[in-house]
Amino acid sequence: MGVTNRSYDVSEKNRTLEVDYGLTVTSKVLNVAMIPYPCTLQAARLAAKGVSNSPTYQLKVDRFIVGAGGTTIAGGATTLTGQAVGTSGIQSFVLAAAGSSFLQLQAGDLVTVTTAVANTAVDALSISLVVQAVQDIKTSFGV
Amino acid sequence: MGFTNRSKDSSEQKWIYEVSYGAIGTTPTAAPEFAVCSVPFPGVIKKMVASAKGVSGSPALDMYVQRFTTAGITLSGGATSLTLQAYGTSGMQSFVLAASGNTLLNVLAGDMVTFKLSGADTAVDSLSVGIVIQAVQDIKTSFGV
Repeated sequence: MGVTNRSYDVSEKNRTLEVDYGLTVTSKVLNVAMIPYPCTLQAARLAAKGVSNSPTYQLKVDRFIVGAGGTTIAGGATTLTGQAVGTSGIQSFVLAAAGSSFLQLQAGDLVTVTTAVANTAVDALSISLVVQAVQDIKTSFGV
Repeated sequence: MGFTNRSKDSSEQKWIYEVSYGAIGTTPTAAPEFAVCSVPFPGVIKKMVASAKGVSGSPALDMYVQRFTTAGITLSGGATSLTLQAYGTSGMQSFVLAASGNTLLNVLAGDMVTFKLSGADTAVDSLSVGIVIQAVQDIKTSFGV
């Protein structure tokens, strides 16, 4: 018998996508996550260790549409200046207001983070996203 | 209320593992190998995808399932080699898996899924690899617990 006519609790719809990098320098575009199904970005967090100067991180979304090509969408979150986890703990990206279309992600989107500010680096960097699926019953990457 | 005497929908039985890397290339190591995931429970590989940015040359990815037994490591592939293209050119790319039902797609708890990067003098600035595994059972242990 399937779990018919039952919905997940809101908390059960959330999924955390996390990525960790080693040494990360400036002016890089790093993949954070591929989005498996339509969802809404609920939160984005960053934790850094071994911070050299004041690197900044900007979340972007790459979206590829057959026939139209790729576009890069910025504006879902403000740029975050990285601080050591020993100084500030886990940091939060300030996202666009709830309901903003910037936060609506589609299957196949690629979330990236762009590092900036000359002569900056971190020894270890973790970035986490919390996404909430639009539907309980869904395909993941099309299957 | 627990989901007693109920099965999950097929879509709910799927688990997604994703991993992302910074710059990787085939120099100086000719065919470096990278881990995608350790498999926690018996399952079936349903999909494997990759997204690359900053592609230099034509790097290829070959997927392997590594299985340790008392006889040592055995290695098997369940997908054809994937030549990477930039996300802006092709979007997210899918590995072509063996036909549905092929035993190469069956994974066991403790298996390790990896890929090798090949192609002389090739590299990518950033790479994400994702895999979708469908559990054989709803009620299961993960890594034995």
